[in-house]
Amino acid sequence: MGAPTQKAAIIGVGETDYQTRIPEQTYAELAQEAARKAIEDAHLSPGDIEAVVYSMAPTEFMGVTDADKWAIDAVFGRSKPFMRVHTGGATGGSAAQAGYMHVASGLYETCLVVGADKVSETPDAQFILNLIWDPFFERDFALNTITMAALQTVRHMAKYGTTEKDMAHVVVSSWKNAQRNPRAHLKGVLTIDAVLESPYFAWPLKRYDCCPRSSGAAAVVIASERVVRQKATRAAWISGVGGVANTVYMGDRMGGARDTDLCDWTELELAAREAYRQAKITDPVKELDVAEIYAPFSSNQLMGVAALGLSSHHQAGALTQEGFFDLGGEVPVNPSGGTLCANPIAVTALVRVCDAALQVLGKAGGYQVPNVHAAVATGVGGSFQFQTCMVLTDEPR
Amino acid sequence: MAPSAAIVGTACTTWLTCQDKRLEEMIFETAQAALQDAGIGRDDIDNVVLAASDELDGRSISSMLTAMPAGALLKDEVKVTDSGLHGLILGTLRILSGLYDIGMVVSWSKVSECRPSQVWRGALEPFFSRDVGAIDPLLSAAHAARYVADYGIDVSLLDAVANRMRNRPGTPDFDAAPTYLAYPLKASHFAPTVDGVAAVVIASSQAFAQRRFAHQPMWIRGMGWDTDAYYLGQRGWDGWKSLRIASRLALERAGISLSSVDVVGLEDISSFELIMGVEAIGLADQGHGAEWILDSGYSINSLANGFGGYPPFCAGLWRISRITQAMRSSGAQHALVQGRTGQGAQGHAVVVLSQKSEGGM
Repeated sequence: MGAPTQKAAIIGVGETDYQTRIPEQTYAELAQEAARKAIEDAHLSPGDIEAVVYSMAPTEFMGVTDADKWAIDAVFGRSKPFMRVHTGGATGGSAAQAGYMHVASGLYETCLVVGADKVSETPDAQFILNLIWDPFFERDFALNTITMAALQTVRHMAKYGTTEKDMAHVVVSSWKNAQRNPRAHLKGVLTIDAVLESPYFAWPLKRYDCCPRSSGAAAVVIASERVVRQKATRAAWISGVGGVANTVYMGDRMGGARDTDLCDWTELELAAREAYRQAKITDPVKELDVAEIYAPFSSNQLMGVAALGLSSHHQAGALTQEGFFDLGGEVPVNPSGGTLCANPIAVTALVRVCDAALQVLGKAGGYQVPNVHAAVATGVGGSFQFQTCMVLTDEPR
Repeated sequence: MAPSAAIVGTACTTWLTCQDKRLEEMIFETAQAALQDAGIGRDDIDNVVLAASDELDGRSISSMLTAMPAGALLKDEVKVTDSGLHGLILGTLRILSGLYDIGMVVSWSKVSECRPSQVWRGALEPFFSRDVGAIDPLLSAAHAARYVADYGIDVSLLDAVANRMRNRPGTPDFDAAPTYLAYPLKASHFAPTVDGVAAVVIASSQAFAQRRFAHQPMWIRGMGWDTDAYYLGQRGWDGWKSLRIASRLALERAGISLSSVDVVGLEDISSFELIMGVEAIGLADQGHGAEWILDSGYSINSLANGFGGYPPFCAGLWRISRITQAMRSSGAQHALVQGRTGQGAQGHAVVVLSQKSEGGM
């Protein structure tokens, strides 16, 4: 793998507010709001957009199979190159990378990456998420994403001594950060005790350890170096990308012959290794100023910081409790509040890219981390088997 | 220097309704055969692009299960949901980016285990379209009725084109009832749908400099893709505009004209769509597609005839696979291959293959 044929950067970001329900907008209108905001933020017009990548995960939540093709006119994609990307929860990260490929290939100067979700259109998201499992064997085990995450968390606790209190610190920090983010779905002042006393969904995961089901939309405009220079605009350069897929079977990631470990997020470690190589990052703690980690459950953030090289697996819990990953800490993680505070599944990983880009662009407002030169955004999907990683920097590398 | 991309190995199922294998077994066998065709192993690929539909697969995030048999274990993998040919396009973009060297593209559908009409109904937005129930083939029939009226077409030409395709030598027999599904389209105007998997291995020009493959490269010299409005009434009635855009762009990028193309592989789920295709890419004038198919002497889709069994969703990549294999031993220099996506063929993708790398992207 070499250098990109053409350098590319994010020059526009658009997001809606994230809420449980947004009844006043249709799905297509919701997607349009994000698309319009991103294009305006890039100081472009819809006619300047040459190609569109649509970020849409399972359509069963909002109930229209061709949601992307329904939204095509609304997101200014009609009569343009258009494709939808879907890798489960990682969809937004994969879509951002697909948009990057449009520009990095040299075939396009601009590409809009946009998507939306209305998870609460279904009365029971976890019923839908049971359908991701094998119909012959696994579905009857009551597997869904919460029970799946609980099994993984138990393994992390057994292997690294992680405690429910470590996880509670992640929650408290995320909710506190989200108070600075006007778009966050959940936010507020939580105490460690309140988290620990919340009801169990699936041991050891409690209510506050789990992400919400959100509605909302997100978009970024990716442009070539030529467009960036013409516009003389500030840019979040896409300096490194990586993605890794693994087997669906969680048991195959726990047995003696395993290639990777379910609770180590080895897939993210490998994806980050490639992204860091491209971005010439050798010491992530020193060289990354902020991380937006797709952590739908509190324990996932502990796995994520270790996989990104920001901590060892054993130390992740202790460093979290010490404030190492807080705003003002050594490497702030999820200053936006992260996935624990907003989870519009089709674009949750794209929101991570949006928030990382906003940090590099200096546009994160109340949750801006000072002097950001490099940020990382991740996505995870399936049975924690799909991981994506994108490094954004303030200068091309 | 910017890389270029070529097909170095491929495999596909042919005219198959597969009752005795699970989908993932079919995917594994086809992907494995494509690697063998390329003369490489799974370790040699650095990325995988899947093209499939959760809804046709009957499983949310179906790639959770299917990515591994497609070869994606600990590889960089992504899925598109438009068509098999869109998958090839994203795979090619990855190669052209300079960040990848050898990739696998796999697409499939196992329609023997689902009811596509139920999936198409779920594709309709709930405020207007779903109550109208305008799904394929009704949507296609609405377009066909307008086409017949606008150009004064003798509807028996739709029968004649279907019969021409169905009666090609070597094409399996399928029952084809001459009953109307929706005027002017009859059941006998449609190709029989079958299960299908297609896999293509693509490599960068740099990869060719570093290693040997089993076959000469089939260069992906041009590609274009375009999607029209969601509502049929907003697309215009003068043929498939998005296919016109996509094919023109693909040929421009390839640096060749349509007259230089030796092999054409177009969507043929029905005789009407085949007619629309030959008109949109410019083989025939508007309103004269059927006559061209019947009288020009050109054997359209001779290397990949969907009327022997049409695999929905992956048909474009299936066509690529069949045509690539055939071109290796023929004197044909250039091929133009089409795939479609969405209700009433809302979007199209076109790829131009060539024996030579000169010119093009």
